[in-house]
Amino acid sequence: MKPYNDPYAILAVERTATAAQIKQAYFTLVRAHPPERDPDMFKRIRSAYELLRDPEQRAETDLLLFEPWPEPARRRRAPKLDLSLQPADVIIAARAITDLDRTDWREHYGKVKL
Amino acid sequence: MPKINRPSAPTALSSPSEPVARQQGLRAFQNGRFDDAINLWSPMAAKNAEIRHALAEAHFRRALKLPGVPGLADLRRAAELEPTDQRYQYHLGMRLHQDGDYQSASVCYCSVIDHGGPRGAALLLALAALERDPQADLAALPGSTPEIRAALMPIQSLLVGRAVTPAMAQVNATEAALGFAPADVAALTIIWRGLSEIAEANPKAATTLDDPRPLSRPPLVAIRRFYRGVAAAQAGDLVTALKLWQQTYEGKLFTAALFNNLAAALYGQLAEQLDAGDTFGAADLALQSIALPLNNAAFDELRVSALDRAAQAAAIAGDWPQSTNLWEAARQIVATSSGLGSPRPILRNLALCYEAQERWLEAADAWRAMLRTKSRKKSGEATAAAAEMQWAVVRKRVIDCYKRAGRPDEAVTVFRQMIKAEPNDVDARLQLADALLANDQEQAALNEIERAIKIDPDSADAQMRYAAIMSARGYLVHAEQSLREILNKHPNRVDVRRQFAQMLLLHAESYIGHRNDVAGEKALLEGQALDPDNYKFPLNLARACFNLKRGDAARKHLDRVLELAGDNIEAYLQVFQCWVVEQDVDAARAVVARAEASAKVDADFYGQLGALAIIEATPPPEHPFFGQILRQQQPKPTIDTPLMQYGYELVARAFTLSPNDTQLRLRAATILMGPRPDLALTYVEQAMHLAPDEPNIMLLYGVVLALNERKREAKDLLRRVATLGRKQGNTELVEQANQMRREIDSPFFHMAFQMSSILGDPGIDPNDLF
Repeated sequence: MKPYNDPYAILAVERTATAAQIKQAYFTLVRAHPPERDPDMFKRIRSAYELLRDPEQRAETDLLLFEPWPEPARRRRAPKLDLSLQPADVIIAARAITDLDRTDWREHYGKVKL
Repeated sequence: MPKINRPSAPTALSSPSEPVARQQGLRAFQNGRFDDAINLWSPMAAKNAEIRHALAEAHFRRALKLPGVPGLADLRRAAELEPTDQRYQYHLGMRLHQDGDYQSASVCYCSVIDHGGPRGAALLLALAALERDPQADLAALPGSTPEIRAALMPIQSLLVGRAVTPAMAQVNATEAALGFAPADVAALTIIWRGLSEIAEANPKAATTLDDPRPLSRPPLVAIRRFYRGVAAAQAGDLVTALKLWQQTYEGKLFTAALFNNLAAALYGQLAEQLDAGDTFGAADLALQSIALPLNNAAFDELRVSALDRAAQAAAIAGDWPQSTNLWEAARQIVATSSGLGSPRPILRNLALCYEAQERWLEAADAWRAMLRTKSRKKSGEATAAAAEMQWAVVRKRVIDCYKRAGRPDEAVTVFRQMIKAEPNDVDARLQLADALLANDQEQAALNEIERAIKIDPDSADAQMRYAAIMSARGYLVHAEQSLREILNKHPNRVDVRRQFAQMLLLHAESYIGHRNDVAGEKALLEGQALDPDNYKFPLNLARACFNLKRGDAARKHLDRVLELAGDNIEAYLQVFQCWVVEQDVDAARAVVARAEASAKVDADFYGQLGALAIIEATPPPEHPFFGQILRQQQPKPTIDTPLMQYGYELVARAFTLSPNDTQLRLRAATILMGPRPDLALTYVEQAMHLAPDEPNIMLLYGVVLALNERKREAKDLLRRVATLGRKQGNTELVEQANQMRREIDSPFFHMAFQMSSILGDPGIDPNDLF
């Protein structure tokens, strides 16, 4: 299974970064990790940049990155505990002590003779 | 007049006679097939009292089997058929009561009381009155007795918000009125008291309701358990409350505030875990609550968020199965909850997750579901180009994933459905064409592209696809013309320019391959104008010029390649190869010097160069069939040329740079064993010296010894390799060694290597090895 790779995280830029910001971040990182001193890191930086430099490629790359579940625009009201006695429950209990809750009615069956 | 055969009148044969129907109905009734009994008896009920009575009973029995409204209709019918039978009135009253029609229910109960029907009617009449109006005067109701009023007193008190006193719970009275077992009645007394304490927020409620006595009526069990939870929550113990509410839910009897309180308690716990950074704990809780139909948007929102965060963390840590479970749960919540917004982010993440695990069909389905979330285009609405680009990528994924899943036909179905909804959607038609191509339906794809062009003749995407198909079908000039026209219309489309250049490069290779160097050169010059920084154009131009005996022009093109090469090692190798093919050692040396100055060169680079030089400097071996004839016609070619010397020098440089690299020597030996088995032997012996017990080197050494006519040594060595393989339990090695040993004596053994040299293909591409 292939590992997950986020080129924006590697280049330390926001997903909304402009092409110029991406380029700037790339050059800054390359200066910090030149190929002769840090070849592996350089390769990662380079391949991350390759995924983002071309707008078409970037559109595809963006789609192949996880999208966080968005924060709701309006905060919803959190559910609150209702610790009161519910009349509907009293009625459920009341019904339970009557024939309404009974299921076996064999004693009410009538005889059929033809 | 001709005689007409009239159809005979319907006879009674299709329906049974009355006596038969009576008996068939009776058998059906006795077997519990009340539908059949009702069908058979209904036509006869009006004129026969016995059958009417039987039919009423059949409706009654069917009603008892059917809950809700269908049962109500049967009870009404039974009561209509036998209005004096109070059993039917009683059950009709109960069904109306359960249905919330207290008025009609009360009429039935009154009828039962008036006619001395089942004794429960008076209690139910009083209860129905209380349900309509908790302040109702129970004493004024027909059939009301002190026992009934005593039994309902706690209920009335709770409904009007009065405390239940111990005196209200009169066990004997209740027992007499209701026919309850004494144990149930005692437990019931406790429940009324506990509920009263809950209403007052009295902390005693927790102790009161913590009553272990069993109850025969399940709703009472649920009420007692739920309100024990409420009492715990009132005391601040949410953990106990949540546990009790979950048990109530599992009992499948739901109290009025059960789902609200479950959502609130779980929400609080989930929010606490997320605030504390316990992502996986929160996700676990969200998973546990997945089946609860809580229907609370805030809680669902938080659950999806927790699941999504944990899924991303799991995926980043490489635990794709875990992230799949979490996103699948999130998808389920989003699908069933209202007002959470588009499921698109979850579908996308899930699709990527399936892709990472190569679960292509599920990935395709997830992408497809995502595609369904795209809003329809409205006329005149300008859609953002970036968003459109992303939808195009989603469509490509649908095709690609279905293709990988071995179901390209499914992708075709998806896009056909899209086109059915929007027949003029050019993009969808082009995606359908792509899907058809993936499904090997090239002609259908071409038809679809042509339809797209008809809808939008200026569509560059459609024209590009059209040209690609024409090119693949061999209509090279037509394809080029098509792209040329579309580029004239869309001069700023980088992708059109790129595709056209690429196509010209491919076509040029085809022209040159067919010895049409002039057409090749023309295509390459046009392509070079479109993509001037691509070194492959001047490189191929140089090759065409060499073929056309225009060495100076070729040199200029190769100089241009070197200008463009930068640090691209491959470009230097290709130019070097051109010069060694031309046997121009000085030019080849100049290329190497330039590469050393401009790019990072290593032992592999020198190894490849050396091998190329040696191969080109080596004259082809004798043809195995025509060698005798050719030998008489040609002088024996010398191999000690400056190019050969240079090849040795380059290989030596490679070995000096990597003195202990066995693989380098092995690769050199592999390339050269066809054209120069003597040299290959030297290199493989060096490798053997560095790693004497390496089975792969021993195998190659055996082959190279045989190629140098040292067959006995080769066989001995291969026998040793087989023994070594047996000791190691490596059956594959044993098999390989034995097979090679057998093949050494075959006349085809030498021939295979010689033929590959004659054909200019040593069987191995140096680029693949180095």
